[in-house]
Amino acid sequence: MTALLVPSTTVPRWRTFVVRNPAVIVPAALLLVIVLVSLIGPFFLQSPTATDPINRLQPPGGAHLLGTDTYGRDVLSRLVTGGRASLGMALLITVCSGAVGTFLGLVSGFFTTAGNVIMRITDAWMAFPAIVLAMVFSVTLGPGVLTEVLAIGIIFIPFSARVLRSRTMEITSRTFVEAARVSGMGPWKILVVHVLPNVAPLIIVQTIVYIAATMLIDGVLSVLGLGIAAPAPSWGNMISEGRTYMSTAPYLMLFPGLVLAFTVFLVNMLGTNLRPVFDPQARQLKALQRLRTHGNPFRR
Amino acid sequence: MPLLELADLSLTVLTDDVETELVHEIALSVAAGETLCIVGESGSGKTVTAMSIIRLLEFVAPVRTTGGILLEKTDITRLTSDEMRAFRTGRIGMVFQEALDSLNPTQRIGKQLIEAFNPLDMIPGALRTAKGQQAAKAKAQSLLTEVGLPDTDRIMSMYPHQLSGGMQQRIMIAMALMSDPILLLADEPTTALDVTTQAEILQLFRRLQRERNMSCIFITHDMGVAAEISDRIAVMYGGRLVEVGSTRDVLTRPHHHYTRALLKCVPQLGVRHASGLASIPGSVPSPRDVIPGCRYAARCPAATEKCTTLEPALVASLGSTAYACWHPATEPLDLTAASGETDATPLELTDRPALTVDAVTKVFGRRRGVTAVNGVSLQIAPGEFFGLVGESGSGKTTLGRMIAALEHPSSGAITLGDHVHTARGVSGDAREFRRSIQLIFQDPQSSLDPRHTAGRIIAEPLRELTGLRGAELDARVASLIDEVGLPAATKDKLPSQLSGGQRQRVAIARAIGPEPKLIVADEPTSALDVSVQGQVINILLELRRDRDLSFLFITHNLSLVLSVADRVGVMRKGELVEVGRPHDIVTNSTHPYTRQLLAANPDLLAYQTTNP
Amino acid sequence: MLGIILRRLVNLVIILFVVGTLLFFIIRAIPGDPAVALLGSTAKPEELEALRRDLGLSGPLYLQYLGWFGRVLHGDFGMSIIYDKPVLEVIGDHIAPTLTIAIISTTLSFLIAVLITVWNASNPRNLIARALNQLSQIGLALPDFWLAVLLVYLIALNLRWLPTSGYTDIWVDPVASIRTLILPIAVLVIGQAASYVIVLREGMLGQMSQLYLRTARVKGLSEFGVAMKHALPNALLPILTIVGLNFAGLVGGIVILENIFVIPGLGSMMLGAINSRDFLLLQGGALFVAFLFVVVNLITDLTYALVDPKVRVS
Repeated sequence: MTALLVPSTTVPRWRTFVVRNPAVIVPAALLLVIVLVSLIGPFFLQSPTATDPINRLQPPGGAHLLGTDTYGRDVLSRLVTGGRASLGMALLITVCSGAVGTFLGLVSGFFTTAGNVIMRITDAWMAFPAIVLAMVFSVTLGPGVLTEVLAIGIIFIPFSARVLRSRTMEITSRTFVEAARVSGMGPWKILVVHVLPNVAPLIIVQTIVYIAATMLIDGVLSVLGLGIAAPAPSWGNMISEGRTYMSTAPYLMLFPGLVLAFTVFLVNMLGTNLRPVFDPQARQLKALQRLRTHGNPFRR
Repeated sequence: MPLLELADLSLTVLTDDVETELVHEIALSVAAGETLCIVGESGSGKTVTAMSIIRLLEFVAPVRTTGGILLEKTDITRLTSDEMRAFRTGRIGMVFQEALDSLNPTQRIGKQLIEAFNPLDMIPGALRTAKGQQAAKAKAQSLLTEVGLPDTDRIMSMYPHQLSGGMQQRIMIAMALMSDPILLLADEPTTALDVTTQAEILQLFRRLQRERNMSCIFITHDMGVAAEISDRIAVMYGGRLVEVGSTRDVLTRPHHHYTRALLKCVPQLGVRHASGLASIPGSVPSPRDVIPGCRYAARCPAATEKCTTLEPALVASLGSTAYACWHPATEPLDLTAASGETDATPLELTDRPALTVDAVTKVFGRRRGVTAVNGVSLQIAPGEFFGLVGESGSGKTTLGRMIAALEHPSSGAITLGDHVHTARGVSGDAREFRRSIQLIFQDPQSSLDPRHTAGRIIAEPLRELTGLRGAELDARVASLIDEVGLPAATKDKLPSQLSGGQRQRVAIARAIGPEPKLIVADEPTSALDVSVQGQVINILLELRRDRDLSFLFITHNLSLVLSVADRVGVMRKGELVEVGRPHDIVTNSTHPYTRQLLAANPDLLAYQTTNP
Repeated sequence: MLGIILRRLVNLVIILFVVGTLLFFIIRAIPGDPAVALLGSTAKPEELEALRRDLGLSGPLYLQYLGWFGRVLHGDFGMSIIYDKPVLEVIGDHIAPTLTIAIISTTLSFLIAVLITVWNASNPRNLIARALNQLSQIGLALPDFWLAVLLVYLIALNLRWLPTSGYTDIWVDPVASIRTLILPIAVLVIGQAASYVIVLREGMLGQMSQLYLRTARVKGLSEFGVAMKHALPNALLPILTIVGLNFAGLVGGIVILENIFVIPGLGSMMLGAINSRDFLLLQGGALFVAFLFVVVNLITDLTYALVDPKVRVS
């Protein structure tokens, strides 16, 4: 009976998927728009770094739709171009740290001894004051892409390793892994052929959640002067620069902050709503939640 | 006037925006002081029916009920949730299959029992007073003593995980009785228990039900259990009630072909089926399937065109039963029909047995070691079907895992062909060893990678252990699929697209692919329905006939293993207490534990002979 | 139980040793000479060398490491260059603001999250409860530094209800202290409460599908009773670990808010130490933050073990 109350485990077809999952499709579509605008937009707008000393700190409206900053640069253009840096950076960091975290998580979940050693290492790793590390990196290497990738990536690795470890252990305890051993398959091959594909949905969902977190931390680093250096725009350093003019030109930091928050919100929504698509257990919880909030549709 | 009446009850649930009718127009009644057993396989709708009587289904899924459920003349389907809550307490109690999961893990037993004290004559809120608490505590203590846990104070201060499975189920029973219900629902309460514990719990049920003159609805998939506990039996299939009547009539003179086939599928103590068990072809239909006519028609030997177009209604027979069948059988059912066979002559243990286990011991944990297997020695002849039977914790699975080298023995040696497996590992070529022994696991759902197709799963050991590649490999996979009786199209299906029995066939095909000398089958049928169990066992028996293949068949099911194995070993607490031929074990077992197991085993045949 | 504590303590010491060692070498990789930073670029070489010796910064790196480590074992973290005081004393001066903010904001966030979740669980169809759930997703997405500046602009600069920045010790002047603390704590609570609501709600929902709740319903408990008496205690347990981890993270990580609100906490201290190459203070500070992290984690783990009967009684 319980089996029947669990929604079917097969992944539905594309069209039914779109119809049944507006909660995934809507944020995904909006994110796609944001990405496309930041990729194509700059070709249609004026240069984000062109200064115009006569038109400094113009309020929104008129020739400059979102106003100009203290050097007379067009805020809209900077916002659109800054999206490239912020989104690209977040993606790069998440992919890098996700790859390392996935590897560590898989290995530590599959091999008992190595797993214990790796867990002790991540214990120490997590205790390491992340912000100190970020500051040291930036002072040592100078602000830039590599610094940020290292600084933020290192924070996420132990967390993503832990989450993946527990899922890997769960998968490894299923008998099909044992069956593969009986079939004469080597441990590394089992890890790649059997465990990885079954862990993959979690990796995807987790990567998305980390993209959101990364974008926020990227902003923190920018405010501390450790992020992508001016004059190239990023949403983080726009907020940081705008902070100085908060009382005279609040729009300078309002817009990039709103755009950043909205993007992070969308990414989070996508991550959260994607889980039930992959994970039958999450799907069951979603159905339960719907029953609780909307009641029994038959009993109205 | 019956106490409970289900009047053409239908249940429909909504999942993924799809409506599924789980139960269709069930008409049943339970008299006061009567025990009704609802028997059925997976997907029969028996649990859903029970859940709807206590109205628990609506908390887990959107559900629509049509028809009525009348308890003491109140139609509970028409009550609001709040009214139902008030009505339920003090009238209906329920015991579930998963006792541990049904108890709150972070609350003491005593508190959980006291919370259930809510008799009909109690003033609301009285439990919050000291007097109410005292009354509840006294009630809990007397009930614990009644269910066989006399050490009440200690038990009440314990947490659920500290108790054994049998004790947890006793607690659940006590909890269900806290408010003196007039109707007790029990959903497979003994399925997860060992056979000796099951016998105790069944006895307890029977006693409590008689003493309190309660009505009881007992859900089970096991005809043997139903025979021991029920006054009347209702048989469900595919969401329909197919036959209902007194226990005696249903078990000895069933009219519906499904009831008859199901009864024949249950292996009986002392009845040999070495040439094959009875089974029902095909598999249980899913509630999502739209089937005109009788839902059993596709599997029924007596089906005619009428059966596939018109659905039969429940009609009364001359006796106490009612059945839904166009072509009912009338003659009494003889369960000993297949008993012409005697014990197969046991195979001689030659100088080179297929497997030799020599004084093998396995200790888990370093400091406070738990001895799972203790000095077990046994031999299996080439081509022998050796059954290993034991309760949970007997070490039978650990022994099987050591033989398959998934676990190393702490001491002793296991010899398989040229390979010797000791604490230091397996001697000789690892690939050659793997090729000579394969494993079939209990749960085909978990032993098949959900992301691989059946073809890929079957090809895996061939790819790893043999040189077969390309077209040759494909041909071999196709022939293996055919050999286990699956259609060729199975190759491209994912495990989730197959039924339980089909999945286990895929697992068997995977195991025989590398042509092993020995197959360790660890409870290969315990996750399957009885009607399908025979199909899987028969494939194993057939394979043994066709090739020079030995089996180590591990199970908790005594009657099953006694009816098909050449020799049987009984394990208890890590030790092999008895080995012998099935006939000898049934008739004159030397070990008291074996006799205890035999006595506890629910026995249909005994029922038939005592109630002709 | 005692065995578990002992094993964890040994673990803790090992972690601190590893972290301390790594910190030492990573920090020394920072370019720049503290002696030069202190005396200016016009100082004579022998003066610089003498100062380096005083600071324990001369000779081969591994000898410096051994020297530093030996002194740390004796409780001597060295002298801070910028404050001209022992490192431990400087840390002591900066710890109060950080801990105050971390403790208050964590407690508040946790309580708010529990309240919202319980309300939601017992009134699943209430519109406001559902709206609060959705709001938590927004709270999670707001960048805290941005929110901080925005609040300063709106409430402190425009409405002039609260001071823009600064910190007053709570024992010295409670009213002034609370007025300075409101904004930074509000910013932290919005983000944290949001994330706790999301985790707790999911935990609660997970419990709601557990079989023992079926039993509770059979007993005749109302949905409120089911949620409060059975689901909540079991859902809260796993949250403890997350709260502990978050709290420990806060202690070392409110740098950005301390910067915006000009609060003299550990974060500001370490930022200053980096900028002026005060290596000993940076090492000491970072090691101290790591120490707080592992201790808080140890405490949450032990609390978990104390609360969960499966661990306690077995």
